[in-house]
Amino acid sequence: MNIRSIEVRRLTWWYHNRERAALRDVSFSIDQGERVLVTGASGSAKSTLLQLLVGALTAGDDGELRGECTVTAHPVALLSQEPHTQVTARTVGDEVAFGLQNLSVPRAEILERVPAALADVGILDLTDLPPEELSAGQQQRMLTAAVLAMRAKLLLLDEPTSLLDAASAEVVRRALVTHMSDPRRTTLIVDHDEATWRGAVTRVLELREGELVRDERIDTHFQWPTGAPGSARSPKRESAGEPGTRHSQTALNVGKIAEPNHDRAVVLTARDLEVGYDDAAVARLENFELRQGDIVAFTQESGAGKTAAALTLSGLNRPVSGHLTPPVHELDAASLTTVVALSFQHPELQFVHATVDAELDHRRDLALALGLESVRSAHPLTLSGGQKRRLSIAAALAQEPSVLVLDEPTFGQDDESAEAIRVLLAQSAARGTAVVVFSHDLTWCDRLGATRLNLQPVARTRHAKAAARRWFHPFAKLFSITAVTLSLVLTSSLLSVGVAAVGVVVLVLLSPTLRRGLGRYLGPLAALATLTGFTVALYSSATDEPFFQLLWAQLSADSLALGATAALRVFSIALLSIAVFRSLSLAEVGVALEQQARLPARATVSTMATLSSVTALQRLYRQRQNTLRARGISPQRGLRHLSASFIAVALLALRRAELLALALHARALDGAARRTQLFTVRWTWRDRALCGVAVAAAFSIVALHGVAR
Amino acid sequence: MQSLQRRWRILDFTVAGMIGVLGGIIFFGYNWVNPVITTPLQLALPGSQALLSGVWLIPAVLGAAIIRKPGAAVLTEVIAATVSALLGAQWGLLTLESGLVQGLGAELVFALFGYRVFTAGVLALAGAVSGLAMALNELVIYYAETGPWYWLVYLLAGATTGALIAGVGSHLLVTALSRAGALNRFAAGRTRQPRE
Repeated sequence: MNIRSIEVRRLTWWYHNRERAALRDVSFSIDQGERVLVTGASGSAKSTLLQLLVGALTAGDDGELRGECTVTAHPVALLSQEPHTQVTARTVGDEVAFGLQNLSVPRAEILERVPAALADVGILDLTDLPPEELSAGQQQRMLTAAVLAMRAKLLLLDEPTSLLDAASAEVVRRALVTHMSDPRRTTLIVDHDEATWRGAVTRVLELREGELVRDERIDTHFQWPTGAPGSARSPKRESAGEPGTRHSQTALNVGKIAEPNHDRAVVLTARDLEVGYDDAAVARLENFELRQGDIVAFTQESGAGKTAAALTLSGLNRPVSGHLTPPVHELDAASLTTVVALSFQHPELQFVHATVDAELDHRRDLALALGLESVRSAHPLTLSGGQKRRLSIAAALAQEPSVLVLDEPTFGQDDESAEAIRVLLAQSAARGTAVVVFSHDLTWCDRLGATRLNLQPVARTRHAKAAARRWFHPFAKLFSITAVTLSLVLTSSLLSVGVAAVGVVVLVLLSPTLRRGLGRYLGPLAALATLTGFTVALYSSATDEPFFQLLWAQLSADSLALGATAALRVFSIALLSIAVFRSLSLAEVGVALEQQARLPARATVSTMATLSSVTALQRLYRQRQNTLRARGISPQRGLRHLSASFIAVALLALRRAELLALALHARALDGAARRTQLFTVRWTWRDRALCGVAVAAAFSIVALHGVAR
Repeated sequence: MQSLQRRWRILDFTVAGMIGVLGGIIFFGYNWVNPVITTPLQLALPGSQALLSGVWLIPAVLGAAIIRKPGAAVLTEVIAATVSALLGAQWGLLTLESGLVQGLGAELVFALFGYRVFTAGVLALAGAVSGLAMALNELVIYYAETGPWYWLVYLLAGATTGALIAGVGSHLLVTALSRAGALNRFAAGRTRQPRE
């Protein structure tokens, strides 16, 4: 008797606000140990099925469900598409540990499993880096390590090697094979390319527009086909440059365009160009010349700096050093769009309008060519992943620039769509547009007739692990400032508040931790305190003889004293709190809330995960500025512009929240009971002492107030 | 009839968190802008500077209007306050306390309506009560030494700004966000009736 892992019976699923059901009357069951491929064209609801299986979609809140969808295997782990949206932690190592913590794996075992899983996918050397600094392919490997380390009974993989070059794909594949061959584990792989996975799976399910059209068992012994899978679309036969980590110093030749045709005009040149983010270079492009009608492709392994190069050539990122002619990064938005247009790596960053039609500048031909005709009136953000990317390409084409830069144009496209994109680009080049493609899809680039070029890697220094020494428990710090603040609110004499203010200033000056970076707050703080003081002085309820009077306002000796008290009070409360708050670490507060305050892990972790996106939101805002610039919209001021950009950022933020929720489901947070903590925040004698001192200080302030009375 | 789902999804937490974070970042900027732009109001009619304080109440009303579950107003507003305090708000710890008080004000109204009604009117009322709570809290902490007229003007200004900026403002934001399909997974963004 086989053990059941998944039981789906007559399942129909509607998303809210959609007329058509996403999944219709789907029935199948999967037993333990099965390795199943789910296939189907883009838009066939493969991802919806995975989200239902991992528990990220609930009937009622997210849509309506009829029939039955039961998952008995536990735990379940999911590797979803778009890895950059699935980051939950601050370092690669912590990211892999996250799922294990949720499964209450003992700490010692986590410390063994994490490096083992990272080594399995070949990125052990990236352990201490922040995930957002990784390339898309490296992030995909990191998340593969994360789900493999969980040793889930049911593993769901959504296009697991789609972002990888051939060499890394081979490494990941080997790790997946080992995992899948354990008969206690059930694996479900979603991919629209069946040939890639034949031989590795025991069964194929095919979805077409939400209906199950095929359920076929394959008799095979477990073996990978020759001509092993490399990309989501087609088997990869060639290796993209030297396999190796990003720290390798392998110098790759910087090619020049083969047989340059000097009859055509030069549209873009780069000399000694270093590309990267802010001041950190990630790749070099020494000698690059682009003429009208050229088609070139950068096809290196992930992590080579392709996206940084795409952003720089499009005039969105400033070159770290070197020269670009024309100096695209210095052009104003309107002139930039006639020179160069970018199809972003993440298509959602492309969109500035409310309808597909407007994004395309009402170009019906583009909509027809890329299969977007039926969705012309839809909001761009509501399209499927594949459609969004095609729209992003079409929108860049519609700008009719002299240089067209495309970052991973074929990702998530089935063969037919990839061919449609290829034809459009070839036509565009024939009309004189220079086309620059950044892609790991070698066969497609060759079919496009692109000249292959390479970026030269720049060695990067590794981040030192931040090991900040912690003196006090975060709750002790909070308790102490609460006590002092309360005593200041309760007292109103110039003497007590004045002494407190001096005390706070002395404390802050004495402690290097509190003092750090506080300087820029002092001016505004002093101004604010003075303003509050004046308000209170002018409108106080003092009853002595005023020496100045105007309408409601009056000044007297008593009212000036009241004003000074209010000003000093605001100043001391604010200075103390700002200084202490800036010394708190979010990670610490999160752990303390879970460990000491015993708040439920589900609530604490999912909320704290979003708090760490403060920097991500700042990045979203910067990306939004990039989008506007790339689409030729100059920065404007005024309330209308402000509210428009607020809504645009809010849309991206909500989308991020949705994907983050999926990431948390994917790593089994929903069922987490008592999570393993990687570090503990302990309450020690130092914390008791701090609280004691704070209480004593608070009482002294109140006592001084009594004396002054 | 669809049963009301009170249990928070993970998605509800991440969306509350994200609105809070977004609000907190905006607070951080607005915290320093507000005293400057309200000075003329204060000179014209003391206490009326609270008329521009509604910006600080938006997360509470917006969060509840989207999530529609008990605790959403408080959680969202407290997160926003926390983020702005962590970034360095001039009121420090009192920022958290204000966040809690303002969130509770809005939460009270939504609770009175059983978390079932989220029309523009209810949002405005929630904003107004949140504004009253904010004004009362600030009078006690910062302006305790002022007279009764100041108190009256300040309270009225607080309620007005809450109703207009936070209440009506949130309603407009919800409409704009749901038009873009961003709220499809929330009752707030539901434009079609559920099947049977």
